[in-house]
Amino acid sequence: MIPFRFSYHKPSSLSEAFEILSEDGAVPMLGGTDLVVKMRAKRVTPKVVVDLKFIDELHNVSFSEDEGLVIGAAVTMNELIEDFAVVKERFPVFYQAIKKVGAYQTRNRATVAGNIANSSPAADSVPPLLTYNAKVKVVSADGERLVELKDFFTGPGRNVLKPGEIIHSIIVPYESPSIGMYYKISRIKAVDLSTIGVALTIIDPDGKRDIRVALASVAPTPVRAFKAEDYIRDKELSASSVERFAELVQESTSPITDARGSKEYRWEMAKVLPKRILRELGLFEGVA
Amino acid sequence: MREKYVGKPIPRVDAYEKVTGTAVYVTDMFFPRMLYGAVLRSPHPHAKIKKIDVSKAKALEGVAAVVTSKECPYRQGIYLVDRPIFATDRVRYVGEPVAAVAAESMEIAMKALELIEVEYEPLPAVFDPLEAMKGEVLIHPDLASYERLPIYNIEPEKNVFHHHKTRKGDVEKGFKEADYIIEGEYSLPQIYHAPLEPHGAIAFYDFNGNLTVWSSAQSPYTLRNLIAHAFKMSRHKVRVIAPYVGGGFGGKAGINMEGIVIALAMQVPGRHVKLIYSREEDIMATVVRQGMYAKVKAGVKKDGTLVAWEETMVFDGGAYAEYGTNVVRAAGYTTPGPYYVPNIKVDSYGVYTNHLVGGAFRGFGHGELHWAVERHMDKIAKTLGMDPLELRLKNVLRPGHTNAMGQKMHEHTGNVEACLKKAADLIGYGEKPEQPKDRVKRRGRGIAALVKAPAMPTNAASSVVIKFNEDASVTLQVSIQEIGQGFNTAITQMAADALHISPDKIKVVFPIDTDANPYEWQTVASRALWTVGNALYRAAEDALSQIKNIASQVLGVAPYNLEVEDDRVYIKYDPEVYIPLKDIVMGYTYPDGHAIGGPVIGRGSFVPERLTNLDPETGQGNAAAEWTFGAEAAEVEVDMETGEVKILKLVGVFDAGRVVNPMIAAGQIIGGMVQGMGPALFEQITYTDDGKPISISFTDYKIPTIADMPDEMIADFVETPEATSPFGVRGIAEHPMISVPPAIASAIYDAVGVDINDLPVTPEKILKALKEKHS
Repeated sequence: MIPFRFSYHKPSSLSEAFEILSEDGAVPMLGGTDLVVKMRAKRVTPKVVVDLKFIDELHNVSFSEDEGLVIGAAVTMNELIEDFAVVKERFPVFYQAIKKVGAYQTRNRATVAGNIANSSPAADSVPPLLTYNAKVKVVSADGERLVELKDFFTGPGRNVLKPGEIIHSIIVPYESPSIGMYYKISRIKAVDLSTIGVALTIIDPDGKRDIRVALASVAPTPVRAFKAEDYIRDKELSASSVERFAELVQESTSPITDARGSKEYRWEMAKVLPKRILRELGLFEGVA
Repeated sequence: MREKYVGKPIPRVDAYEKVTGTAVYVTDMFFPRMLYGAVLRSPHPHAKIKKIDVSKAKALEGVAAVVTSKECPYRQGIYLVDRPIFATDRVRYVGEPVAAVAAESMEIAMKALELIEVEYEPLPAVFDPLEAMKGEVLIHPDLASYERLPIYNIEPEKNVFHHHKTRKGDVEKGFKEADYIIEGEYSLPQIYHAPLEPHGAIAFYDFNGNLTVWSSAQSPYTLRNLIAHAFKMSRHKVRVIAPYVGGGFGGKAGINMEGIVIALAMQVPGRHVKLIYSREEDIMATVVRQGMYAKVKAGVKKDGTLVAWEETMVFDGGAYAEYGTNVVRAAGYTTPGPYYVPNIKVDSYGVYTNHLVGGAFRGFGHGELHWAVERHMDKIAKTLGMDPLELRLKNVLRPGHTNAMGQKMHEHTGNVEACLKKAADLIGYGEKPEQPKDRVKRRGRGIAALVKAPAMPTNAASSVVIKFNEDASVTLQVSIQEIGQGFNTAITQMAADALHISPDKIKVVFPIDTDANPYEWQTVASRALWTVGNALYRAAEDALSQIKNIASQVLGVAPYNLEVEDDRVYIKYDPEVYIPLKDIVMGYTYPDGHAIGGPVIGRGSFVPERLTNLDPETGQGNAAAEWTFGAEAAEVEVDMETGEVKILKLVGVFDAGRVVNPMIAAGQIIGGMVQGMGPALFEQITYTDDGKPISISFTDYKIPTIADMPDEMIADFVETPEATSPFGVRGIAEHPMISVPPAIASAIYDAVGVDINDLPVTPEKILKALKEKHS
């Protein structure tokens, strides 16, 4: 049980939500898969819980090549990947990562916006979104603003949201066809947080071939390995270039030891996995 | 025994209740005016309690009772009475109960806990059992004064709650005869049972001083006994009712958290108090499997013949001994497992530390001992350049051999050789597995054997009452708990064959109520079908002889010329002459109205035959009633870049004596193998450096999920009928978990050539070993 008193509201419009969120000790909730667990352990003790999933406007999903994929904050992960084939077709790495979040039952409630707002360094849906240059549309009573996902996180569990602000939607620009892989190492294959998660996305694989990499659970926030990406751009994928690329990915991380794995293991995997993914995608022959 | 229903895959009798969610567990039970309990726990691994102030909590509106060791100064323990229900002068682990409240709602109870003020003075703590044996920190300074069964050998100055000795033959002589002396060290951490249903109990104390406890309990009668002992009550004043148990695995045996809720109920006579543990409390404050460190020295001839085995096992028993005393003893008398060695010296120590409390866990010391024994057998094979299976087959216990406690093996004791050969065949042992194209992934196969007997007192008793109803249907009373193992179904099949009636006509009385059901020691030790089968056989004979005696008078033939079959009793040599069973089982009434006989009630009781305590200095004697042998095999794929292991296939083969229900038995084996995968690869209780448990929720205590299942799992049997059971049965419940970790470790070696001897075998350990191998 949740061992303290709080009030629960389910506003049906954004304006109503903003009003309640302005109360002292109010927090927004979507699926609750993070918030309720934290409340049960008294790691957060809100006085007011504002459930946003009864606001119609937050349930929209749309896609066009010009506007990209727009995911309303209250859309559950299962709705997103089961009802919108475009996710799997146009953003395959994002699709793979969502399938690695918790268990099926978790994904019946969990949302991508919640995963982002929770701002865990282990958030599985975040690394692929980073590689797709996703943006976060933030709204409040004062208006709206667009934040680049790469600028959203400020530390473990911390982000740029100000009191009264909520995530309205996630915008994932569509650039071109992409291929790639989300490789997650965890103690068990489902219902586990990542020891390390690596998203490697290749935008326009048959054209400009832009390789992008982002990682979970190896730094205070999910990180994108820009230096490695810059290095490998326009280069042949040879044993030596891939080796250097993987080293640069590794250097973008600053892992620690926790219950899921050691700093040393994570550091090593940060180099092994980018190479592994390139090899499994058939873009590179070498074996480490 | 004539078999009509034994051996058939009859669906479970509890299937509909379970799948429709109508089966009742303690947490589903509510009573009028019921109070809710909550427990305040120690934040320190070892500290003096200087002061407890409960006045503010007591003053809170809605609080009905607050209890500490002041109101409840009792200790509990099954073999060694060392565990206070509430910490008294000191706390010995993080999570130990210090106080409890009963309140009108959970919310008020939780609020009241915050109002209890406890002043602690931290004491030096010890977490490594080897360190604890130095005795620099004494966790139980008064150990020598605790009440205990005399078969347990304490060494108070070393924090040792039992030191078990096995001395067979002469190991020094054995080592002299050996061509090789091979040594090794093996270890494993504490692990958690993870039952679906956490511990829970409801207690009610009435104004006549009668206590009723509803508990998720594996051992209703032993629970009653231990409650009465701890609270100094007469047995007849204590009633335990045990509804369905949502998984026990040893963790719900004996007494556990019931004392807390009883202490609360005694403060508020006439009101029910309910206490259901959260997952965190269940991990932290019930019992876990003990950790273990083992050091082995084996003497072997060039041809692989074992001639001497010397081993020291040190168990991390945590803060209190619980069943650990007997775990240490069972591991001590069973080592070196299913192998014949003429000269054996084993010292098995149970040691107190400031870790979570160790207790009974499926396997009861055998998962631990076989990890050391089977890993060491692989090491011996490697040293000798011999195939590991061949080495095992060369040394298995065979008829005529004696085991470590000196018991003679017979043809009917069971056949480990057949189990090994069948498991080898099913895993494809000897052929090289097909390797994946990806050169960083390598596959391998491994095999390990095992043996386990029920670890129980020499006089662990069972009883059965068979009551015939007016229509010749039967209610069967027995106090073995249905904990998911399928007992109620299997005993129905056995009763049907023993009584020569249809299983549709039999109901097993449930839930168990110690005021109504007959005595049973416990639902532990994989002994239920064996021990209850004996009592059932006697009860059925008793009932049948009553029926035949009545019919003999009516039909005018000797009882031995009568046979009972389905719904009638007939003359064997003239089967058309019969009396419907329903006309007999309440007594027979003649056409003129006069009646003879009376309701048929069959009674059967049983204690194991010819068991003895073991000699305290040599461990020789007759402590085990029946041995179940088995063998398990694994095929794995190891990723040499990441260290990840995928289990492709698991095989378990057990000499069950006679398989009563092949469907349930196969389920038992598959479930056990899955439960063995967890500790093999990832399960462990982890602690901070200062002794605070980390993995106290499912966020960090991981168990296998459906996504981790092997591609294939095979359960199979050998059937060498057990001579001490009229049904030929022996236990298989705990066994499937036991040798999965060594089989997997062996397969990993076969795949990539590294040996991991410290569980769990994590990707990090594999990578580190691979690097050391290649450097």
